[in-house]
Amino acid sequence: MMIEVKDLWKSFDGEPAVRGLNLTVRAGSVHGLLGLNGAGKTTTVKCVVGLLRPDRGHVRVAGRSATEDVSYKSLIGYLPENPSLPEYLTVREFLVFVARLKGLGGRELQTSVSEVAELFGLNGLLDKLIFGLSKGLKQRVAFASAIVNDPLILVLDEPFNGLDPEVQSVAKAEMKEISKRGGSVLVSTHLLDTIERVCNSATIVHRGKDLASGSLEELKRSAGLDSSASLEEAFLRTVSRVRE
Amino acid sequence: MRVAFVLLRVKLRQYLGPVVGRPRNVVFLFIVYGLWLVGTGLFSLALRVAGVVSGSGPAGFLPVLTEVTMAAVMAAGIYLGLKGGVTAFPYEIDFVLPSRVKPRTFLVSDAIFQFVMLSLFVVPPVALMIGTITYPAHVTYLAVAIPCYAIAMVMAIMLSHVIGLSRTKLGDRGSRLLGWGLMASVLMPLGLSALGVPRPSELSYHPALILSHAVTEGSTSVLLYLLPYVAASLAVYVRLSGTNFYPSVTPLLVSALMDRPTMITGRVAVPAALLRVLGLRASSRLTGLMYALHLTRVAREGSLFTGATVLVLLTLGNIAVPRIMGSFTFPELAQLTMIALYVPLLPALLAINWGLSERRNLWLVKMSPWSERPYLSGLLLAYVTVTLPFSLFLYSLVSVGVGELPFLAVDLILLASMSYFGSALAVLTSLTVRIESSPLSLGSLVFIVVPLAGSALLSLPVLVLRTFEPLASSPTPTVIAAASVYVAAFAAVVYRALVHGGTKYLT
Repeated sequence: MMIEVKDLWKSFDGEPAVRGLNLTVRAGSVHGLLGLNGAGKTTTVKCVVGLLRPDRGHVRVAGRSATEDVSYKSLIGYLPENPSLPEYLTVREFLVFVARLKGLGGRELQTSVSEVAELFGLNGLLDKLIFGLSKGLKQRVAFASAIVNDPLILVLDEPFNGLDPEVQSVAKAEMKEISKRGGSVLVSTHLLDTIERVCNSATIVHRGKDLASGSLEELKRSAGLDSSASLEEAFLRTVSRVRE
Repeated sequence: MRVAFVLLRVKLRQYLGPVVGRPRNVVFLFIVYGLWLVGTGLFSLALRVAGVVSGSGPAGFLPVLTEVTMAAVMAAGIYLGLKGGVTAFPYEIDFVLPSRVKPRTFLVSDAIFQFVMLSLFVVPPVALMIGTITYPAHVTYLAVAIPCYAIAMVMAIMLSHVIGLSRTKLGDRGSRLLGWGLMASVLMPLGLSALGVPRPSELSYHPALILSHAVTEGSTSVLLYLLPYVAASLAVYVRLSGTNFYPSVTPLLVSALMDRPTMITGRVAVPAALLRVLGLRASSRLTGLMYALHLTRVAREGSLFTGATVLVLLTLGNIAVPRIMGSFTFPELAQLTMIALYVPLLPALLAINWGLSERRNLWLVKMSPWSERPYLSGLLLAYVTVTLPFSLFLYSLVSVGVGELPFLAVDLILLASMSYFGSALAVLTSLTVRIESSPLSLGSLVFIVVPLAGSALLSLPVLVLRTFEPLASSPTPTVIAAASVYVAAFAAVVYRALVHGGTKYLT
């Protein structure tokens, strides 16, 4: 297992955001984390990448406990929802900064920075301050920084905000590439059609709990639908069952 | 007007930020504000005693005090004008400005808001100072002083708005020129005194001096001389307030102590030689990476420029005050010691901006597999790197001005101590206290009070040593060694506590 979350609990000011959530992401998969606003997706993702400490439960990433051994962080790439970037740095300085934080150095660092800049069409912007870039370009820079260390595990929280269709396609190709190499991608979003095209498995989260998990076909079946149904129908039916 | 008051109410709630609805924060704010007043009270007592000792009487400092504070109030208005003039939070830019609210209505709400804000910072401390040094005649003086300060604040707000609104007519560059021109005019009396140039008699019609004169004379009749200024400002103000200034409004209440990177600041980089000298060049040294990051930030986002400007203006006042006093001889020793006392303002202002613009980028560091300690050591080192050389620069400036031999050994130790402890306490404050609304909010006082008071307390032995002659100017090697060991030992303890214990606050 690349990511294993068992009985995860997390509260804020006594208000539970995640309540006993379970999640498994296998090697070679692109796994979607689906849910309505406030379902607990971002909290779960933050616990996985080590930005939040769970109140209860276990989070294991690449076989290591996320709360006890942070060495796994050099293996992951992370793109938060609405990422805040140090806008006083140039694009190149920022990518070098992130690469160095991930432990890259020397020629390897320079090559990685050049490659991701090329991939996301940032070559002409490398010496520009992030401050002056548009929202979409900043999102490109953030996505590029998430994969600058060629991560084994990529964790993305609403990654397509502000990305134009061309770059979205590059990002999706990169997600598939990581899974092909035996890595895994966890992508949290409520854009179901995107998930349907990119992911091969998913977990539906509602009010801090996992309602259903498995391949997209399995999710449709568990919702009582056949394979011709859309993921959106399966999702809405699964969530409405709980409401009833 | 009803709409203006609705806007004002929401703006005040946002301004007070996390204080709203949390009793613990309200108590904390009152304590900090109380400390601010206690500090002001102690300073006023010192002025009263100094006045008595010098023979000019308990209220001997009243003219200089009022002159400096009146000029400072107007300079604050001009500073806000240079930053945009019309204060606005991001939510106002996103939701209020695109609505049906008329520019003039927004301007009225902002003028009242600025008046409330300035009053909180100006009236209680100034009333306390004037009351303390004029007691027992304080009631007479305060009866004139408070309306005079109210007039100064209104003028400051008009200047702030006029400079901000002038952008629509003059453009960015023209507006900046107007602002700095007005700043130079307002500070001219202080500047001339600092340079030792006699003031021309016409300068007595300077608005700050007219207001100061009214307070010291206890008479409002001189305020008639102010009428041309008020009339001219009002005429320009009314004319400009009719324009649609919305497109040039900036989120001033968040970015007041910062600047957008310019062609020049955007290219500032940390020299490799500096990293080499500090032993931070090797790629394995994460501290070097963090140090370069923080130094680049304070230079490019304008924090350093703002902090340096504030310190230069304080030093201008520091040099000018004894000269305005004329017959009263202000001890040079006190002038030089004063620099050390206000130097921690620089890291304090840097810390305020860190809380506003950099804390949200912590996710990048927290995603690293390495320890977070280098982030804190890099931050502390960056603050010390800018504070210490700047304090030495100001010190040599004043030393030359008063004709004293610069760089006495004790001064070096004192400046190093104040710079270091001020920086450490600024980092500590920014870690433990969250500032989310405005760098000009009351909550920011804690960012100022803690480094200023804390560094003076931690440097107390050296500070005391600096005030004893002839020990200060001719210290024995044992005294120098003892002072150095004291500072180094405490610096090591503070460093350990900050860098090792501070990581848990990096959230």
